[in-house]
Amino acid sequence: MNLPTPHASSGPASWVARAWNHPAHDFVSLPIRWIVGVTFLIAAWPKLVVPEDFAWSIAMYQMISPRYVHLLAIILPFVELIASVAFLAGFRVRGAAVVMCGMLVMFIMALSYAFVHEIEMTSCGCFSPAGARALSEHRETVGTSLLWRDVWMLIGCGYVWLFDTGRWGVDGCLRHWKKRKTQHG
Amino acid sequence: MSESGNPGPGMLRPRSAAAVPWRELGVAWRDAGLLVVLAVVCALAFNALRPEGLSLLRYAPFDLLGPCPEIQDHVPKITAGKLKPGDENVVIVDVRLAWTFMSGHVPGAWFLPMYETAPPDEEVVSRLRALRPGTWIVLVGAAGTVTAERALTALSVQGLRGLYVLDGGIEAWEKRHGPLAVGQVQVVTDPQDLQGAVLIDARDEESFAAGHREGALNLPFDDLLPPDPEVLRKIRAAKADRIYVYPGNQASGGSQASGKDPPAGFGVACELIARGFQGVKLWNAPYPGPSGPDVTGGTPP
Repeated sequence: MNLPTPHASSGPASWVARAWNHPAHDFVSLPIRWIVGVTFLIAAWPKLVVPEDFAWSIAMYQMISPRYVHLLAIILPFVELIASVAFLAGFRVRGAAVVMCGMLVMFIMALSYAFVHEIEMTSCGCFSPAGARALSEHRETVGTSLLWRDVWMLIGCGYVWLFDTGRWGVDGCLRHWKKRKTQHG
Repeated sequence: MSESGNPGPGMLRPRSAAAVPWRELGVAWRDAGLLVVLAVVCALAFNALRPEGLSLLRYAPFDLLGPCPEIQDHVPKITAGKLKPGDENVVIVDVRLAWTFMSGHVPGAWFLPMYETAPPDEEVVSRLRALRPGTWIVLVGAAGTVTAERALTALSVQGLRGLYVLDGGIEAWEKRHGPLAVGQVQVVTDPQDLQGAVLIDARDEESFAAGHREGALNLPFDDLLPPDPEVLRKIRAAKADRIYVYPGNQASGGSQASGKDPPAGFGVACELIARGFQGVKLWNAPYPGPSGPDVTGGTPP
């Protein structure tokens, strides 16, 4: 029986389908996943080891009530860790991408807030919370490069959310295993 | 492509029949929620298991950002009607200065004067810190509660919890619970038993150096600063059963307990009595007398 498939048809819908589902997306998103995943993994580690310093960094932004600084300092590094591991392993990739996007939006808002209110800090607190301790000794306004770094990562994570099917990773292996099981069963 | 929809050898499989995989994009939000929940559970468990785990909520990190207006905006106040005299779960702390404390205070209240330019007494603060957790600390000031609010901020910075300001101050307590406890300053005009007694000169340092009674200690009256702890230590170390403070106000006999500027001798006597010194008496005579000062010079080491 010859049934018409969407790919066989012509028109704008067909073109969008072909572009959206093109297998090349998996190849493009893989390095993005690795770059962002490793970046977040490196960023999460010092915060996990010394959450007190990270709490200090959060407080420096003066965005949230000091009452909740500790809570955020405890939870956020684990969200970063789990999302980055999921990204690297290719497990629930799109879900992890949503989490990454959420965190990056939050970081961009925090940095923008620091810009607008001219809050001075030696470090954004992203990688080296201990560096922020030198506030009184060496004051510098946060550079815009930090903002651009987060914007580029946000675009990358958005791309992963939209186009990555998790083919290269745990998700792909699980699908492959299920498919073989179905075929042999 | 075969009829079954499987790609042939070497062919890339078409990934979705739909133009946009809406369902998969939606499922990503569910997965994101699950990942965040997993992260929160792991984070709280990790923090709980760490020996140096952080408290989940931090009350007022003044050490991070400097003075914070948070407390001043939300002063926890309590009305006298909610308090019961003699409640063992409540500690009443009077933050007014000594002579106003002596003129009338809540029975059993602790004395923690808040001077304009000094932090609260460390000894009292450590006693407050040693209270059973959950004890309410109710700060009582004048009706305006400004001093009590300042005390609340100062004590919060030192890590104390369960602090409240009594709304309406000492007057509200008196109106609700009846008469206050009044401290009395015993007055003598010509003490004969000076042997073994401690003499306190309440005048300023210059007057003291110009001439004072023999063996007297100088404890100048000051309503901005607390008394010198070193002098208090010396008085305590002397273990005398009589402490004479001079000079007194001859006209009023030192009995005036109200007023903004009490006589120096009376102010110091109140300070000592409020701090728990026993046998404090006001030597109600002007000094130096007609025969002049006894000795000159500063306080002996």
